[in-house]
Amino acid sequence: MQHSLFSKKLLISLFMMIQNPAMATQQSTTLNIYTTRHYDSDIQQAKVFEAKTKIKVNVVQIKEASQLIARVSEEKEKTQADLIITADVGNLWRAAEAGLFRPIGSAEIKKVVPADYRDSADLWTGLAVRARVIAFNKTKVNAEQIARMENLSAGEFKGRLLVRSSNHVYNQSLAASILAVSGKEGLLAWTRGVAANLARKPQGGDTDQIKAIASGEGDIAIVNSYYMARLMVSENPAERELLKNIGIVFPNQSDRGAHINVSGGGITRHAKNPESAKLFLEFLVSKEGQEIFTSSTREYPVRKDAPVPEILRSFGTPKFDVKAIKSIGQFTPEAVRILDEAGWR
Amino acid sequence: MTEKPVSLELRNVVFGYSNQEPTINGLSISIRAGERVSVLGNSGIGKSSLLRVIAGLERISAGMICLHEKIVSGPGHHELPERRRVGMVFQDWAVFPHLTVFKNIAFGLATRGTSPEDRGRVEQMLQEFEISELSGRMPDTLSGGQLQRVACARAIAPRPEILLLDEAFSSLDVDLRGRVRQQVITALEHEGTTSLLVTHDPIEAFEFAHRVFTLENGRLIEKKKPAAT
Amino acid sequence: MRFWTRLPLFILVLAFLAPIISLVVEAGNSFWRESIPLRAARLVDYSVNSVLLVTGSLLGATIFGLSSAWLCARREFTGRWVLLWGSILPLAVPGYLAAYSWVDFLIDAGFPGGQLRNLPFACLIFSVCLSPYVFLPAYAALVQLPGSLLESARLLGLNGLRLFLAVELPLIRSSLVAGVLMAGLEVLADFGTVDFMAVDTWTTAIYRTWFGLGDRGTASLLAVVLFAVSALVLFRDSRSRSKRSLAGSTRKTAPLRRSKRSLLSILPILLPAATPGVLGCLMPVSILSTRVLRNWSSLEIWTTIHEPILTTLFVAAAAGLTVVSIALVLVWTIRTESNPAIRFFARVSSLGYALPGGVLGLGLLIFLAPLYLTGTLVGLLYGYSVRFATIGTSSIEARWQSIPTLYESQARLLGCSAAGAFFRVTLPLLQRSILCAFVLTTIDVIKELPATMLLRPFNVETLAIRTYNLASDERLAETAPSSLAMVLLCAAGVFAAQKLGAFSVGEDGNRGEKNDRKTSLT
Repeated sequence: MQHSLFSKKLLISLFMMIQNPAMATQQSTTLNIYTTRHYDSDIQQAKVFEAKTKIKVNVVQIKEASQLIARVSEEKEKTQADLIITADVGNLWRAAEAGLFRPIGSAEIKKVVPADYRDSADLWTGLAVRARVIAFNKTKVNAEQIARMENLSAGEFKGRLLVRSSNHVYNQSLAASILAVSGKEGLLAWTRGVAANLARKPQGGDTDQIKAIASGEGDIAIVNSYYMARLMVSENPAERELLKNIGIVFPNQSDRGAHINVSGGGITRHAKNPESAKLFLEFLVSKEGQEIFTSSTREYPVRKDAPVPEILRSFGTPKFDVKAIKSIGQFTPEAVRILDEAGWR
Repeated sequence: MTEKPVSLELRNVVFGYSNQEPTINGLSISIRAGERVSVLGNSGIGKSSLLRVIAGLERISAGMICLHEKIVSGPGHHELPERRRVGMVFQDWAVFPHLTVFKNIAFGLATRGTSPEDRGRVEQMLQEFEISELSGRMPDTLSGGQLQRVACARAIAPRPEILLLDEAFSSLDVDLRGRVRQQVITALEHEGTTSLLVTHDPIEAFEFAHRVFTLENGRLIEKKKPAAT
Repeated sequence: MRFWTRLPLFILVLAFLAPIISLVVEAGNSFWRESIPLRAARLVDYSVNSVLLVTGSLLGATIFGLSSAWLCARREFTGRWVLLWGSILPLAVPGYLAAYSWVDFLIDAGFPGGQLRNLPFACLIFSVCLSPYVFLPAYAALVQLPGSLLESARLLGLNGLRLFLAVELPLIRSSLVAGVLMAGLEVLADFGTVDFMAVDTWTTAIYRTWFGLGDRGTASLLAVVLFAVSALVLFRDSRSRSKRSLAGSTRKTAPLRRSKRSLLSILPILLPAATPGVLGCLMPVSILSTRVLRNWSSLEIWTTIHEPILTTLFVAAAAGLTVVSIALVLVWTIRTESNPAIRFFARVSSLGYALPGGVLGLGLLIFLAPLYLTGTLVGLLYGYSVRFATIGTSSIEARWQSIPTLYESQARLLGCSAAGAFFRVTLPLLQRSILCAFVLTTIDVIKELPATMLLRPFNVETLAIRTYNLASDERLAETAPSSLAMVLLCAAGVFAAQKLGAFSVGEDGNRGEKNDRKTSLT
């Protein structure tokens, strides 16, 4: 607990604001991260890493990956960023396309992270996984009816479907993954069907969709496993109560697997501290680093032998659509245009 | 009086606001030191412009203005107003609302009233205009007649060579008008200051001045004092 | 000599235009490269929504703000001061925050969420939060109207609403327009609130194109279109107002006395008048306070928010100072410069407000990055200046226009140079409005989100960013401490400014200028 009003650390950071740290000559004792993530897990990982390695971790968080990419692209060789972390691989693909990365070159990462979760040119690696699942009212829907994401466009669900806006990257990359397997016509048909089935205008976040099932506004929602798990372990009994009649299905288990959002990172081309960045990535995929992801934010680990907390184990061992990971970035713009066309706001 | 030097001279001055007929058109006049002159005319025919031109607040388009035998406005030359040593009392008095009476009067003095000489000068002005008791007051607590006197005292305090008065008395009631006018005349004579008053009121014009002019078609025409008022 | 006096302005104007030019170039590149990838039909929807949202919000804000201003200026009743404060304080509550707390509260209360996020409700939130933009200038103008004018109108047979519409409204119109326009620009450039309220506006198109399609160029193009429309409106306004600008008389005018009424008799006007205070201030603050108190033990409130509070204060104060200095240079030039081209440029530089913060941030980024300035305090302050300069200029300029030019002429005749007249006469008379500009900028910086996020240095987290991050992680309940801190900081600013008379809402309801009557005889 910090008692003094102006902690030394804060004063230093306020004064540091006056000067661009990249202009000072840098030792490999610092690591500058640009990230789109802002979770407690990330803060904790940085702290543990600092304590272990004595490398000072500086973080700038920019929520929207496109803005983060814009900043790094514009800063060019002057960039302060050593490491870029984003919450969706589609964005890593974009950053790689923009030429922002250099190969990671870590034998350790190649060893522990399955190839599906890594860029084939070694420009980025996946770090943690969230699945896009289907939540449903157990009293009104049978899990078999919604075994595949594709089923949600069926006429039987008219007026019963809940989903957030397609302004959000989760839905955009979900659409991209369907585009990758079913083509333009397939995606258009599916999104039109979904749009026609909506119980209400797409709005709110994933938690709002779950609440809407509880309040009876709809029966089926597309949500992220992360929010579902968080509600299940909530300290607030009222939140756990919401889930009384709600079940979840990991879709497409009999074919390609459930769609996933993969958080990942890559080392910038103009990194001043590439070694620190590599060390940090290696730490993030170590058992210790992975456990912070799974226990703090309840994301799935990318490495197979990392411990998984009770709440995720209760979901079984779902199959993930790992084949789509590398194509999502490429398909997203087209998917967004189709979402527009179908009228899924 | 005729042997005194010329204090203000205008020669063929032309001035008009942009895109309009010139309101002053070939105007000439010569005023000697210590002389008081009035210019009569209805509102809107350029009396105020005449004063603003002399003060240097406006630039003339032709002709020439000399103050104390030095050209201040002329072809390619325009002396800034703050260098002309001209005092002016506006119709609305323009007493600075954020300063006390004392500070208003001291505004134009070298040390702004901090040196003993300046303080003495302000005290003297306060006495001459019989407003000593108002010294520390703020303008928004004063009546029109009081503001009027503050404005005059402020204009005279820095010892200008020439004092310009723009309808300075007309917004006061008749009694007060006469009293303030007399105070100004006394102060002017005491200081030997030249002055030029513009007004729409013939009585005031003649009461105040040695010579009275009317402004017609952009020029000045001298007017004789009527036999009786 | 002319050149040297203009030099600071040229530098400022260049600095202000740079990010906008960067955007135009970015937009131009994309325009030649490819056609707009968004479907035109969606763009039409977005535009219609934008127009509806702006119209609805401004209509609401005007009704709320005007009725309250008129009541406070013309009627004496129990609780008049409560209404006065209630009408100012929504300034302290950002629209997105009001939206978060309302929606969260109503859903918790069992209201079906599906009926909360829509255009009318978004309009209501904007009208409530932006009504001070109408109230403040309207109230200040109303109390300054000469009583004789209104009394003569009454003797000519006008009364009540007719008197208001025929005499008062036309007379205060010009001071209203600026406030209403600012409110309109804020609605147009908003993304946080409309996104949360599930309303797709033109900014949705911009961000969807950028974030979803990854197409920065087209996003810039759409932003430039929005900017051009706003600029057009602003220029029309400044032209129509400059025609009417009068160098007011220095003479005092007696204001109309407020007539005493019972609460019951003014109820029809009191209802809309009190709406902003209740919906835009009282309710959000109560909701947030309840949440903070309820979770007092589990949240470790102080440790989590004390750094963001200090950072926010530091950044906001620095930005306030910067903006005020810039505004003074700009306004001085607009006021003294006769050359219309220069006035034009000075106006352009206040247009940063007409761009969504995130897009302006992009323009700044493109321009700042080669100068090593991204992620520095200088860069951040530069961004705030471009974005909020117009808040500084408009409040200072409004006051400046009401200072008769006579004062400066008089000072010149008493031996002051142009600069001397400025420092000895104009600046002291502007003191209040400068303070006002400082506080208003500070408040806006405290609430600002997108540009801060894009340009911020390492390890810098403001209250707005903390709140947004928690909200976007769907932890609305946990946003309460930082939200409440933000609201309280802004409220403290509003309170201080009011006490110092920055809003011309004086104790005696007379004039904004109250002089301290200290004698200063030495």
